[in-house]
Amino acid sequence: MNKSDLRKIISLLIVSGTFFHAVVDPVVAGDQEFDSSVAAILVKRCTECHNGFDLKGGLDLLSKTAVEKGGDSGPTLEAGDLENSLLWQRIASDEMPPEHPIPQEEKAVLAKWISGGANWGTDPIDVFRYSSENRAGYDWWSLQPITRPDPPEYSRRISKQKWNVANNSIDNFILAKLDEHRLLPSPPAEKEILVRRLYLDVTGLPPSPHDLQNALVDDSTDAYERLVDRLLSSPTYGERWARHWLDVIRFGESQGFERDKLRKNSWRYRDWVIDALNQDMPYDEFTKLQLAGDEIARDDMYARIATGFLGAGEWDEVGFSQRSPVFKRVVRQDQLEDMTSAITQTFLGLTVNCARCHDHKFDPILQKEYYQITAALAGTFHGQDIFVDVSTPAELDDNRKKSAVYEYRQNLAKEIGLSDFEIKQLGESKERYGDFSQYSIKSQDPPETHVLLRGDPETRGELVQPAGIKSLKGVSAEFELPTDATDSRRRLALAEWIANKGNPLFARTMVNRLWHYHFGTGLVDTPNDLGFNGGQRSHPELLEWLADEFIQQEFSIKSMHRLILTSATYKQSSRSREDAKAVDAGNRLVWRRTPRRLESESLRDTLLAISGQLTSEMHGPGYFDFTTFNANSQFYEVFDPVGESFNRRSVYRTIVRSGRSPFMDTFDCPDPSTKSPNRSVTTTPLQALALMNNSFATRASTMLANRLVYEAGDSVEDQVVYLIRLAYSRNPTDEEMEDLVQVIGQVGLVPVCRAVLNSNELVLVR
Amino acid sequence: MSRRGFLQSLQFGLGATAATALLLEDKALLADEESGVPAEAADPGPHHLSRAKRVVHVVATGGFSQVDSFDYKPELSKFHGKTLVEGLGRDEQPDVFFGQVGRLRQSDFAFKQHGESGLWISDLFPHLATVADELTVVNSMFAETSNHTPATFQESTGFRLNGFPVFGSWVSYGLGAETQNLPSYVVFPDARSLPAGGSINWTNGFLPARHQGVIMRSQGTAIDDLDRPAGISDEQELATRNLLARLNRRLQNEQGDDDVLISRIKSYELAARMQRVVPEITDLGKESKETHAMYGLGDGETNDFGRACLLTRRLLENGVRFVQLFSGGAFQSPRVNWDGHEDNKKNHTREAGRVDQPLAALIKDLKQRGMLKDTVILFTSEFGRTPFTQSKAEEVGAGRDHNQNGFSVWMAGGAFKSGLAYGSTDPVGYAAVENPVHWNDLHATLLHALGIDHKRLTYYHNGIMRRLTNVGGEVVSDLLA
Repeated sequence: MNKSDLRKIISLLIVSGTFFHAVVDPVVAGDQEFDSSVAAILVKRCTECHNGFDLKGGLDLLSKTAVEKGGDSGPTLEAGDLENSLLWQRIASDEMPPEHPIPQEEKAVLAKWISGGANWGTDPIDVFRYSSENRAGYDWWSLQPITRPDPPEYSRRISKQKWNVANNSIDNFILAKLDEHRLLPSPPAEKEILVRRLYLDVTGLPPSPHDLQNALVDDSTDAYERLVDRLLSSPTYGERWARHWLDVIRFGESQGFERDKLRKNSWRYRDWVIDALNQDMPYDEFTKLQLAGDEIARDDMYARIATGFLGAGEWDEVGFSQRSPVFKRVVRQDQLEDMTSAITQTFLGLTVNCARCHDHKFDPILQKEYYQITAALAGTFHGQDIFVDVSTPAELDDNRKKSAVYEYRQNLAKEIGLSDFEIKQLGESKERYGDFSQYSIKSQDPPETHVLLRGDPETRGELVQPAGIKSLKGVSAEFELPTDATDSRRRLALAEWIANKGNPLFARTMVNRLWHYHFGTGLVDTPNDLGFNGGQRSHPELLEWLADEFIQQEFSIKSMHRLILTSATYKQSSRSREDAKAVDAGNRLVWRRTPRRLESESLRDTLLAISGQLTSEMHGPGYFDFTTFNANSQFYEVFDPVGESFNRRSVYRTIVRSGRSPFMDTFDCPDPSTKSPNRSVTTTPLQALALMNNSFATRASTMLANRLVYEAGDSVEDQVVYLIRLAYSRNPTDEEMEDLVQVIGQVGLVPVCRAVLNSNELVLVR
Repeated sequence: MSRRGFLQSLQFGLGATAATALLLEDKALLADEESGVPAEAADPGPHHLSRAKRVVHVVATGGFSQVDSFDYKPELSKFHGKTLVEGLGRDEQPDVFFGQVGRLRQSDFAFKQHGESGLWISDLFPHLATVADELTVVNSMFAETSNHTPATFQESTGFRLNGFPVFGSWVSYGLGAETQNLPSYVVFPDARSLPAGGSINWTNGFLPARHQGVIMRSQGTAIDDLDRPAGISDEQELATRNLLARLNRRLQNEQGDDDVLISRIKSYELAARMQRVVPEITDLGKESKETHAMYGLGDGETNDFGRACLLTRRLLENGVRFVQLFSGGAFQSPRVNWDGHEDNKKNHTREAGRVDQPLAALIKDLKQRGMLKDTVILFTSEFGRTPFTQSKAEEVGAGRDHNQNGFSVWMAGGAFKSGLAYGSTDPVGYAAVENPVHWNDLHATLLHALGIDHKRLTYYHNGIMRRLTNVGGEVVSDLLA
């Protein structure tokens, strides 16, 4: 490059001005210009190889002294003399970085810097100082303290609609954004559609004809709000929303890996989640108990059960018992990574696990900080927690009574001719209720934790103590623990750092999850990742406002549900509009309600409910939809068991890792070993085959037909009305009535029920 | 394009992310009747010209012994009864799974050179030896662990942990299928038992559910729920379907054109077509007696695997993208896989006897139909076995322990240099020394053969663009034709 080219580049740079949009922190030491421009380029383009650890070509470009010293090829820079600076020669000739030449604008910045005397700034360069187009720095939005923006105004264009466009502040944020894009919101959905939507969203079940009738005839002004409250206080709410939580934390009731042994007592944790949600346990308490219930209330059986969270993942029994100590250490580190990712993704939307082998490539998390988190878990091992000694007489009594109920049923079962499989399971449930223990954790004395270079357990680096991630503003990352702190004390410190009003990610992550489940897409569409690689915020101010509101509401989850459910935004019709579709087909701006297919659990529960088979029994040992035997490893043969014991809500299905249910899987039930913050929603021919032909589905159509005759009587018209109310939560149209009556006349009720159970209106929530 | 750039370029536009996802997911169903199922990947293959279009992955569970099959080691015979240190001529303290390091044991099967290529294959695989010139053997594989399950995960997903998508899922996601009448990814478990980990072995992990392997049976109903339940007459079935169509049409009139409504309607049409087509494709009665004999169908030990292989050929002919066949089941007693801890000779003789003839038949059959040139056949184990026995230090025992340090896999198909033995282990077959190949490398190479750049086949999951090859993988171009 000759000098005139260079001048061109420099003038180009001056014209284009600020191509680095980094926010400049006023308390930066050193030369601010260097930090925000030159250092950012070096970090982006060079220091992945030329750092103090890798030292490619003997060169470290992160510290001033190292740059002055130079690498194997000699001095790096001749300050003020561009042409004779080795750094420039290599860059200008595109020799460096290999295969990825630096763009002209950035070359110009470096040229100007070297020509101008190569002044250094903060030393050594802090790679996390600024966000760039390649990574997040300390200034990344999700790491900043939560602010509470004022709900914005929107124009008369929006407010002049014939319906009430805003019920609460959520609507202001949504409407203002729609206004910006010249879109209008959709009118509210019809009452019966709203009722069905609310029931399925909050409880996972459609309204019974009786509930539907009550809701439809209630014309009082606050009828909707009262229905929201009623549903949120229904125990079925906890059953529905616990399943969402179990997705996120990859809850499984078997060990995984080779042996995949069944964990017969993991159901206690699932029940704990259901109850905690139903009681509206504040989210910070909910979090702390799951991470350190054993420290918070050692003598409380339920606090101990909450730590089932820590035992929800896989456990490589063979790996931990193999002979080689080297491989055992690898297994332990793999397991710590799994726990760390579950904890930090679940509660903080932060992928700390990506910093196991090196500093996080995208978010400001040091490798050292990853090991600080694992230091808080260093004594945490899976194991059976036996709490019979801390169970109160009332709790013991309660469990024994429930156990006795199973025994009673078991005895009765022989007389009423239940299947051998069901009788055996009743007996097992009796035993399982009587077992005062749970698969969760067994604490050990925490060993020392070292940074492991490149993640290799055999290459130990610096010794670290339990601590958090420094880049999260508003909460101190220091745990200030004595070095001999016990395992549970360490986890409590971790929990207090996480579930902290000052922790900027804690509230943000949870309100985003709640939004995700209510609307199908989060305000950030990657609920486990609010970092650089995560999705962009559709409504940044709304997310802030909700997070702050969550804190103001003392982390009451139900308050947030109520707020969302009573917004005009939530109540919008789901009808498609061509004008809006042309602007925002994905509905990120929420100009309507996105119609959604029922998740596999809701679909199964709905089929059971409509066909009158669902048993409303809460809690207790889950049902098996498999036979199992042990031959070194545990084997599971999944099938479709028939009997009342299995007609429970799907949240009570025993989730084993190697015996996944094809029926549930077909409808996108996730792999229980995968942390699943958002399920994929697919439409496949295998789903059609399952719903048309699977024995469970065809049984539902037969049972539904029986129910119609039994409950609606002999009149075909009455049967049709009842069928449509059960399945679609509305009354049939005249056209439907005529059609269905005719088909029933031709081929009978069952084929008609089968069609309805396969129809879009049943499977979709509008 | 990075996910970030992708998102930025699309935000709020016609192609906003959620809509894109929906469109991608439903594209398959909206596709033209005659065409196949398009790939779902944001940057789908092929990324370059490729020779291969489809894959047959034979998973030999338990770990077959390289020194008894494809890795010919005359030195091992010489040092039979000696220690590993003597055999290697250097100090080596093996860290084996069960902790017992016995004496070196020579191969229990005689090696010969076969075909024009002179590829070394032992008597363990007499039928495969007849197609030696079609095989590409890698003798320098190594794995990260000698623990079956994490090693199996790595073999199939690139990772040691649960929860990642397997090779077949990635291929289905990256290339789609050539037909809508069949699943893109089909699995035949060993007829004796499911493999350890069951469905984990064909999991879609975090990829959309349609990329999970679909189990097919070589006898009885081929696919779950394919058949109309007993007791439903033609008239009833027709009435149900017609009513369903009317119910759906009415909703669509009411609700407007929504992709989810349309694709569900389409899915029922496709399902009906599957019901018609699958029984025809899976009817082995349509094959000649000679073909049955070639694949070893009948009463013998080759029947189970032979049926699966013959079905595989029929599925490939009809547009299935990926077939995974299991040679071996779970770890149980008596053993039903290649895990020859007790008596490796007896074990391997039994296991090879079930698959050798059918595999050779599949290769020959694909070749004569002109399909071998664009098919990848892959035969792998999670690791190999030790050249020394699992016994007391001074004894030559009968069993061999797990060995992750060096083992063999083979491939066939036009994408590869055939009749080649690539890489090598040390003189006794203990560890890969020349051109070691990691699973990430093998996966990268296989994807390359399918026209896919392994770094471009990605899926965002919890903070990172995941790929089959994790953060590694170099294409082994010496293997490619």
